[in-house]
This record gives sequence, structure tokens and C-alpha cells, in this order.
Amino acid sequence: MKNLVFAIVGILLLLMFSCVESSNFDVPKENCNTDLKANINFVELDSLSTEEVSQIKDSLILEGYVISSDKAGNFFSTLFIQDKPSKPTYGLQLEVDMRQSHLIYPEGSKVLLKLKDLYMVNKEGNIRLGSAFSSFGNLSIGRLPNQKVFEHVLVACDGKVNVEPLLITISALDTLPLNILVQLDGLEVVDEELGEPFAVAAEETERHLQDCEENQTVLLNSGYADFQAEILPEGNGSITGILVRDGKNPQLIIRSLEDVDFINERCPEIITEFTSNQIFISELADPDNNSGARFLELYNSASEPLDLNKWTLRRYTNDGTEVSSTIDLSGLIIGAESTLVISPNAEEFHLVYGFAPDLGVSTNSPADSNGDDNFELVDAFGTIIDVFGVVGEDGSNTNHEFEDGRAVRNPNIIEGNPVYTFSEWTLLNDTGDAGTIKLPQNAPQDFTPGAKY
Amino acid sequence: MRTAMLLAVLCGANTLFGQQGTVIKGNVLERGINVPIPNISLAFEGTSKTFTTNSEGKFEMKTLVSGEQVLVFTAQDFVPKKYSLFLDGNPIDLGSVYLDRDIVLEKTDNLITLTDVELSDEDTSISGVSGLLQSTRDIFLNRAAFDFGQAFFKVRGYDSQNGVVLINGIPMNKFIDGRPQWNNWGGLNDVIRNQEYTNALEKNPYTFGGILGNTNIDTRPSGMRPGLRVSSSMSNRTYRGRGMATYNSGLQNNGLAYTVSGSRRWAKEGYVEGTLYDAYSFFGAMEFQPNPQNSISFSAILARNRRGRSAALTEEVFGLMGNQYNPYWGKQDGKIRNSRERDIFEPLFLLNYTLETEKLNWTVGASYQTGKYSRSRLGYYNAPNPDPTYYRYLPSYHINSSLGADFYNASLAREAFLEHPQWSWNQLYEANANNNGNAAYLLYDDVVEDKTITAATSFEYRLGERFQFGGGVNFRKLTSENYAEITDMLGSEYYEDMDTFSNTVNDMDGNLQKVEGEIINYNYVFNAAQLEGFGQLAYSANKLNGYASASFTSFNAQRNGLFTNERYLENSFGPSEKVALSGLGLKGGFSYFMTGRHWLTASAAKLERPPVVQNIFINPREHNEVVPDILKETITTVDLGYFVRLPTLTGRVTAFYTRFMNTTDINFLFVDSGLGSDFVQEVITGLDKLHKGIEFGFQYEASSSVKVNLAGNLGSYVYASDPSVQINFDTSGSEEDLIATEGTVDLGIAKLKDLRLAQGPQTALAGGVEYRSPKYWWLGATANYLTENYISLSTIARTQSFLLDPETGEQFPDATDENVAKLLQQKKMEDIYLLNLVGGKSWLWGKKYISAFASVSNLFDSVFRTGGYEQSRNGNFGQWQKDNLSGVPSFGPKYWYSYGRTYFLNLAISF
Repeated sequence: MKNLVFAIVGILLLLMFSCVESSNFDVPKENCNTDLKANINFVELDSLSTEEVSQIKDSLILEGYVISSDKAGNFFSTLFIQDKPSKPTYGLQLEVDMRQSHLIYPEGSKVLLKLKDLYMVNKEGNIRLGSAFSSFGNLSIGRLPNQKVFEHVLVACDGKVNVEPLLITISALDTLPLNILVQLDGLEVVDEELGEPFAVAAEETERHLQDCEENQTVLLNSGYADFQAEILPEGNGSITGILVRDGKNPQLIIRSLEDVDFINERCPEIITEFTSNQIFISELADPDNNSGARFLELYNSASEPLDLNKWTLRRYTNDGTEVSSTIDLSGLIIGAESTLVISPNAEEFHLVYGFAPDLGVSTNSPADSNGDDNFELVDAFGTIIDVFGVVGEDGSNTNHEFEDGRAVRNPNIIEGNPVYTFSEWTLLNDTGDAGTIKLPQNAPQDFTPGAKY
Repeated sequence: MRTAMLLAVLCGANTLFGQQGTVIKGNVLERGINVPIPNISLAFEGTSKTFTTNSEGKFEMKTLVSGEQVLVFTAQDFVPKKYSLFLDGNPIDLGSVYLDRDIVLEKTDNLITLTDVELSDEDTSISGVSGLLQSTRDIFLNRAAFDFGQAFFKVRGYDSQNGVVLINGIPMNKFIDGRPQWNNWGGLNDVIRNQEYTNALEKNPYTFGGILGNTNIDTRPSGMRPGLRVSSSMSNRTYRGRGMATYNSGLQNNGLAYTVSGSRRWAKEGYVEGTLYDAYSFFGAMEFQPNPQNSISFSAILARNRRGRSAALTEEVFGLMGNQYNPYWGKQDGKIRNSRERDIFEPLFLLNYTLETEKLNWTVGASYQTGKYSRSRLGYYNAPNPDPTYYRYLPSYHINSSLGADFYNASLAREAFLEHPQWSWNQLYEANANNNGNAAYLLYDDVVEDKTITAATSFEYRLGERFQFGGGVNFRKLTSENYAEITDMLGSEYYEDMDTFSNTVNDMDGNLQKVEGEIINYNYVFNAAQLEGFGQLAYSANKLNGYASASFTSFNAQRNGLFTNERYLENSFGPSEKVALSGLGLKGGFSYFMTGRHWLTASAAKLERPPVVQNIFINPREHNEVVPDILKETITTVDLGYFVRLPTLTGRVTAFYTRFMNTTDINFLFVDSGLGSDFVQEVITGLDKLHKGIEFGFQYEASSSVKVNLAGNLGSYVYASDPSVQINFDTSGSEEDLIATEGTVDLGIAKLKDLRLAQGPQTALAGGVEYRSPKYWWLGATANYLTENYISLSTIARTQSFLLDPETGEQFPDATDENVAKLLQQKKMEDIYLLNLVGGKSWLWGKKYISAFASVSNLFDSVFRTGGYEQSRNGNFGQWQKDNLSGVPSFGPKYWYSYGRTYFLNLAISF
């Protein structure tokens, strides 16, 4: 009996350790594919593609390198694949209904695409592959269902490579193939967008980049990217991204913030706004015989010309305290020791004085005063450089009336004055009040537009 | 039978002294081998008093009953034997009584394989109660266990927490869910066969008990048959093979007896794909009986059970893959690896003392149970869900697309799913390798480490011929550690222990980066204790038996958080409030004997009981919060029965009416509710349930070898109130995404009243026939019909919030009462027809006893749904409606599907 018991216990012990797998598993060997060989290249694929969505019927296998990554969420459901790890000549987009695809197809993966049964379209060099999506009978490229992706996109055994972005400049972007990885150096975010986040939450947002020559291009960011709320970097530097195109406009899409390396100083600023107190009103004209020959003359007493970008002239009509009209002087350059003549009636001016004014403006503008109005010359930064008259005081019968006459700056004046000073001026008019001279003036003989004195 | 008649004639000669009682003696032997059988119980039909044979199989009993009576010999493993006797006061010597070995014994082994199936998912679990019923001879309960059990029929619609399982008088039900854990002694069928079952409200000597029925497993070696038994089985259910051996020394001259038993069950894959089964069990017990009255025993039960789990499926997935499909596994290096394994190893040690005298039975015992219950899971973090049945990967996702049905991609998805229905583990490793060391996927265990100490005592004292009183006290103390532990990094270097939805840290005081073997996600301890006392009094007379019992329960539970969770900085760490509840229980009943062959019974009970621990704490993995105003549950129940015991017809009919009041339930779900979307804990309080019905079972002995039986249950189990619903969630997300900044919303009531409970088929009928050949083989067949099986409801969808459009906050214009009622109509599962066959043969070969047993279940290989539940994702009218338009909803109900035809074969040899 005892022997039997032992025999049975022995058999049972054997059973105890038989048959069922334990729950311990070793890390498996690499999960890659060595069997497949590419039998088509991107050039051939390009030639097969059409503008119409069509299905690939042959057992074609294409080799490529994944350059996108949805790890940071800036890409979603699209894999970008280019032909070579460096100096790419072709790229394509593959639509996949797959989240966190970077875990299976990280950037740099060499993949083999089994193209059979996939749909393809090529619109202006943008090759897109995927499943079909039909809406109202129109076929477009749809996302390949998740579980199908594994059948069509196989990771090759060569492992991950370092994809070298193609180094180019903004002006060359137009000439490049799409859907490839590029790098641009010396770029920065345009001034207007500094302080803004990469993208507005939940919205695809375009940001603008420029080089020091102010050539611009678009940076396209997803409103769902992890870095969406991060503030755009201030510096200048290199950026790596995938080149896509919206219509004619090239756009860059980055994979993560690591693609943006703006650590250098921004481009030197191009100064376009200037100030000078050596610019002032030198002559105001209200000819007694011809109101159409009115003009306003500015003078630059400095020995350098000045860009009047964002300078303005303001007129306060009669006793008005609000600006009644403004002339924007942007775009004009006043020469060294030269005048700048503005006429409300350029044609008449030409007729009367024999030459064209530097700027023709409308009637009722600051250049079209009937002699009892007040003027301010304001620089690009809003500072009042020179004044004629006293704002809020009608010029009639005052020391700043030039009705039917002329106000001219005395020759010794070489700077503007933000406070009206009668002693700087000589005024001729039809009243002669308050120290002015009662002597109405006629055009052209009594006036000197274009000449300082 | 011939002996019995002879004896009856002999005894009939003496007709005097009827009033003084009759002494009957004899000895009982096993037929064929002439070995005495101890522990046979003897009783006259229709009376409750029982006598037993001693270790030499001898008995001598004195009874007051007189006239023509039927004396029944019953013993475990033997066919009961009846003797018609005429009692008139003259002593009767029955001489040697031979009992036949019950060749139907292996049926219980078969039962175990049937009930081993357990339906469980994230937050729903359905466990059969059949294990409880394995020792009963009641005709209805037998059908319920052996046949209806396959379709997850529940006796009276009760959850298994309503039945108490005791081992040697010590209660074994778990604190967390109130249910007995059968796996703790699984595979040890030979040594747990000695069970004493009391049905429903019947008085039980060891416990006040639950209202379903209570069983005491006696593991004392002296109660088992001496000798060696070896058996081996084959099946295609949960396991493929089993080997089992048990040796019992029998009571030796020095008063010692011991038993050892061991078994192993295994399957690389069970009936459902990917469900491995790996279980081994050991049992050892030693008993010292200095004399027949006193017994001290020590038992150790070590049962380990490791299984691969399977999932409930939507109709869409079932349609594609069938009832054996299981999405939880994948292949790794060509081997099946199931991501959801369940591993239970909770050794149990018991020390018992028993005193058995003519007047007093007394037991004292203590037990200690320790060990681990782990369930493995695949975690994924900022990574795609690898489950091939994830809704985005299925054809229905494309058909239900918000852009319009996309049949082309639906067809592609279908193709891809059929081609790759399991995930690839290699791909998960690949993903981890591509993630800079950070784990995108890892395997972890949800672990429960319980340590339970229980002390129990109970006694029964006979007070004269008519009265008996008894009582008992038991105390249980539990320390339950709950945590998740990384078991396999799947090739990654570290795991960032964070909630990826809210980007908050799970363990503020620990390292952010964790590795294999470290605790992640949550870590807390439950401390619970319960003191229970009961007393009972029984009366028996010729015409009337009755009893009354009362119990008192005092219970307390406390959570102690070991992690500071960033989502719950205030109340995740440290001890919670101590929840203390107490309850009273009363029950009583009587039997009225119209004659010895017909009697009526009536019983009633009213019980208060604390909710089980899992329904007290709202979200114990993360914080200490307790269900507000937690109430104890109240159960009232009445049953009335009629019993018949004619020589050829036996059976009963019972009507029951039970109301559960103030029950609490907590569910964990992700819901797109009318108020917003979130992971929520749904707390349901004030839930009443009504169970009523009639159960019956009759057996007709057409001849000594043919028995015909009929059994059934006509039940109605419904929600009896509209409970209050509250949802809770964390508030760490950005404010605009929150349902409410308070972290809790009261959703008012859920309209559940009168809807059906998902408690298995509510109507069940079975007809069976059994042929028992005198040549030691037998055959049985049953035809079963089960219906009225309803799916489990989403409660949140029955609240007012369901009608709201989360976009606007206004009610959906289409959400009229009529439309809502149509949409939310409770789904009834198909009717079930089952034909089961069982048969066996036994041989006597010298002193060896060989038996073979075979069963085929579901002979016609029908596939039906055994249970199901509505997914809660579609928590608002608009989404639910839209999702169902195509007829293939993405978030439709999930179902458990039946096995098809299965078999079980067993061969056993006893020495």
C-alpha cells in the first residue's frame, strides 16, 4: 500500500509541474520584417499616380523612412515618409487611423509599404496614400483602419536611422519636393507674433517665420499639440520640419519643440521710423487770388535726408480742439536741406507754380487751409515736432492768421518748435492784426514753394 | 428490500409497550466488500431527530415514534436505503444492513467543472451558487445545481453572498463581497465531500446563516472513508485534465486519524480561447479522538488556482468570432499569453475541537487564512489600447462614424479584425523600445492580500425529547492590503506613476519612476472586524416541528491609505472614518405533519446586515470617502412549502417572497453623460429588490431502476424602488472639462422600479429520467428550458441626466417619454434549451472499487447568452440613440456566451 501511495504521489508531483505555461516571458526578439524587398521606387510611384484617387492593384512594395512623429501631438493620423535618410527627393503622406503611431513607427524608422489595395492621389506633387473615403460619390483618401495599418506598413530590420534634414533657404522652398524633412537656418518669429503661443487651443494655427532679409514662410501648428500653449521663442536659429504646401504657399510642420532651435540673437533691426527736430513747417499758403494754389511746405534743415515713415501732419480747423484732418507722410523722404511741398490740388499747383508738388492730397486736408487753422507736425513716435498756431484758437485776427496771405518761417529758424512762437514767423494776411502784416498775397509771384526762402 | 420486509414481519409480531419507545440496533456494511461504514445517519421520515453509526458501523437508537415508520439510512457516497418498520416498543435488531456505493458520486466532480465558469468583467461579476448545493439531495436543488447552473441560474435569484459556507463550523465568506471563495478549496473534492447543507431559512447548528442556504464542510479525517482514492478526469470546459489522490488513514487504535489529498488541474486553453488553467491543491488533516465524544483536529488547505480570464463580448464581436473568442490574450514567441490572469493562493489553517455527547454537541474552532489574490492587467499609458475589440478598431466604428456610414473602411476593419483577432505582444515590446525607456505598456497585478483570523464556537443542547437549544459566537478580523504591483515592464525601463488623463501623480511621497516589483497606482489597507452571535430554540413533536433563531451582528470597517494621491490630497492618505454598523436577525419556522407522508412548512425571517465592504467606500483605491448616510440592508422573507414523501413519489413545492431593502451598490464607469464625460463612481443607494416565486421538484420512482423527475422555478425578480444615484469623480482636470467642480453630483433617482434584476434566468423547468441498472451502471438525461433572463441595466441612463444634451445643457427635444422608453427597453436574452446526459459504471475488483463517469452537457451544442450588461458609455439620450441607429452600436451591451457541447470524463479507483 505504501509503495502505491508513493507512486501516486510521484505521479501527481509530475503533473504539478507539467503542461501549463508560466506567466514569465522573456523579452522577445526584434519585431521586424526581413522578407520583404522593395520593388518600386518613389519615382515610379509618382509616375503611376494621378490627380484622381485611384486604387493600387499590383503587389508593389515601397521602401521609405518615417519622418513625422505624433508623439507631441502636432501630427495626427498622418505618417510622412520620404525616400532617403538624407538628401530626399520624394516624400509622401500616408493617412492612418492610428493614435500614438510613433510607438510603432518612430521618426527615422525604415518601413516597407505594401501598396496593394491602398488608394493614392497626387495633387501638384503631393502624393497621398491611404484608404478610400467616399462622400456624396466623391472619392478621397481616407484613413486606413488601425488594424490594417500593420498589414501595410512593416518595420524593416535595419533599425532606426538618423534622418538628415535637407538644409535650404526660404526662397528655395518653392522648388523642393513636398513631404520631406528640411532645415532652415537663421529664422525667427516675426515681430507681430512674438509673445503669442504656438497655436490657439483646438485650432490649427499659422505662425510666420522670417530670415534677416525678411523673407517669410509659414509654420503650421496644431491646436492639439502638447506645446500648443507654449510661447513662441524670441531668438533666431534653425528649424527642422516637414515641408507641405497650402496652395502655392510652403508651410513647415515641426515634430516637437526640439525641432526649433532659436537660441541666437534676433536679426539686427531695420529701423524704418525716425525722428528729427530739424524738420518743420516752412511755408503756408492761402493765395488771395487762387485758393486752388494753397500749399504747405516742410523743410529739413539737417544735412541728411530723412524717411518720413509714419510722420503725420494734423490740422485743427478754426477753434477746433479735435484733429480735423491728417496727412500721412509715410513713403516720403525729405532731402537734406530741402523742402517738401504738399498741395491739395496737385493739378492746379502744377499749373500755377510750374512744377509738381512732392505730395498731392485732398481738399480740406492740412494743406488746404483758409488761413485761420492750426497745424501740428508729428513724428513717427507721436511726438509733436513743430506747431503753427494755437490749437483751440481761431486764427482770425490773431498772430497766426494767414488768410488770403502767407505764413513763412523766418530764415534763421533751423529747428521745429512744439510751441507756437510768433517771432519765428512772418505773416502776411488781409487783416494785419496782432503784429501781422496786412498785405494779401497772390500766386504765384508772392510765394516760394520748393525754395526755403 | 427483501431483508427489510423480513425484518418488518419479524418485528410486527410484537405489538405491546408502544408508548415506551422502541430500541433499534444493527450495523451497516458496504455491500460487496463488507466493510463497516461509520457516520451513517439514520432518521425516520418526517422527523428531524437523527442518529449515527459509530466508527465500527454500529448503531443503537431509541425512538418514541410508533406505528408504521420508514427508517432512512443516508451517508455520503452511498445510495440511501429505506426500511419500513412497525414500531411498538419491542426492540428491533436489524442485523447487518448493506448499503450500495453511490455510483452517482462523480456527479459532484462534474458539477465543479460546470460551476468553475465564472463570469466577471471590470465591475460586474456573476458567480454561480451551485457549489453550495453540491451535497443536497433535494430534487429541485439538484436540478438547479447540475443543470440550470450551466445557464447561471440562481436559486431564488439570490446572490451567493446569501449563503454561508463554513468549514468545521467556521464561516468562510469574504468581507469584501460577502461571498464564499470556492477556489480556496478547489480541487479537493474528496475531502470537502462531507457537507451538511440546510436550505433557505432552515435552522443550521453552526450559524444563523443567510437566506439562500448554508453549508458546513466537515474536514475531519474521522468523518471520511478510510483508504486511498485516485481519480483522473478529462474535460473541455475550464480545464482539460485533472489528477487527484486522497488517502485517509481511518481512525487508528491510538485515536489518531489523518488525511492527505492532492490534486492538479490544468489546461493550456479551456473551452474559451486563451484561458489557461493551472491549479494545484493540497490538503492535510490530523485528528485525535481520545474517545468517541472528543475530537481535536488540525486541517491545512493549500489551493492555488491560476487561470486566464475571458471577456464579455458585444453582439458585433460575437457575430464575427463566436462564443469561444477571447480578446485578452496574444501570442508571444508562439505561446499564448493571457494579459488577464487570475491567481488565487490563500492557504487556510484550521484548528477544531468537537464534543459530541448524547445531549450536547459543541464545537470550537479557529482559523487563519493568508495569501494573495492577484489579477493581472495590461496597463497602457499614452499608448493605443491594444485590445482588438476596442471600439475604434471594429467595423461598427466606421459605420457609426459621425461623418456618415463608411462601409468601405468598415469592411477593411472587419477584414483586419478577422485576420488579427488577438494582439501581438511583440508589438507592445516594440512600442516600449521606441519610447525612450518610459513604459507605454506594462503588465501589473491588482493584488489583494488578506489576512483573516476567525474564531467560532457553537453548540446544540438537547433538552428532553422535544426541545433543543443552541447558539454560537464567531469573531472575524480582516487585514486586507490592496495594491497594484508591476510584474513585467515589457522591456521598458521605468513607469511614470501618473494618471495620464489628468497628469497627476498617484504616489506623491514615492518615486515618480517605478520599476518591476514596485507598488503603483494605489495602495491601501482595509481593516474590518465582525462579531456575530446567535441563539436558537427548536421543538419537535409528532405533528409539529418548529424553531426560532435570533442573531446579532456588529461590524466595523476602516480604510487606511498608504499613498498620497495628487487628485485627492486631502483624503487619500491615512485612516478613514471607522464605519460601524450592527444588525439584528430573526427567523423562525415550523412544519406541520398532516401525516408522516405529507407536511407543510412555513418560515420567515427578517435580517439586518451591513453592506459588504466593497459597497461602503466610494473609491477606496484613491480616497477615504464613505458612501454618505450608509445604511444597513434589511431583508424580509417568507416561504411556504408543501412536502410529499410517498413510497414512489417524493418532492416539494415552495413559494417564496423576499424583499431586500436599502441596498447599496457602487459601479465604476466611463460615461458620456448629459452633464459631461468622465470616469465616475456611481453610488446607488436606497435600492430595493423583490424576489418572489415558486420552486418545485418531484421524483417518481417508476421502478426500482427508473426514476423520473420534474423540477422548476417560476420566479420574478425585480427592482422594487427607484434608488438615488450620485456620481463622484476627481476634480484635477481643467475646469471646463469637469462635470462639476465639487467632484460629486446628485443625479436624483433612477427609474428602475419594476424592471427585472439581472440574476440569471427567472423561469426554469427541467424534466429528467434516470436509469440505474442493478448491474452497476446508470444513465441520466435531463431536458431543460430556461427563460426570463435579463441583462444588467445601466443605472445612470435611467436618471434624469440621461435626457440632457451635454452640448446645450437642455433636454433633447426628441427625448419624449415614449422615445426614451423605447430606447431603454430592457433586453431579454433568448430562451435556453439544454439537453444534458450523464452516465457511469462501477466495478468491484477484489477490494478495489473502480468507477467511470461521463457527462455531456448541452448535447445539441446550442449557443446562448448567459448574462450581459449595458455599457454605460452612452450616458445621454442623443448619443445612445445615434449609436444604435445602425443596429451595430459601438457601445451596445456586452454578453457572456455559453459553452457549446462539453464533456467531462472521470475514472476513479478506491482501495
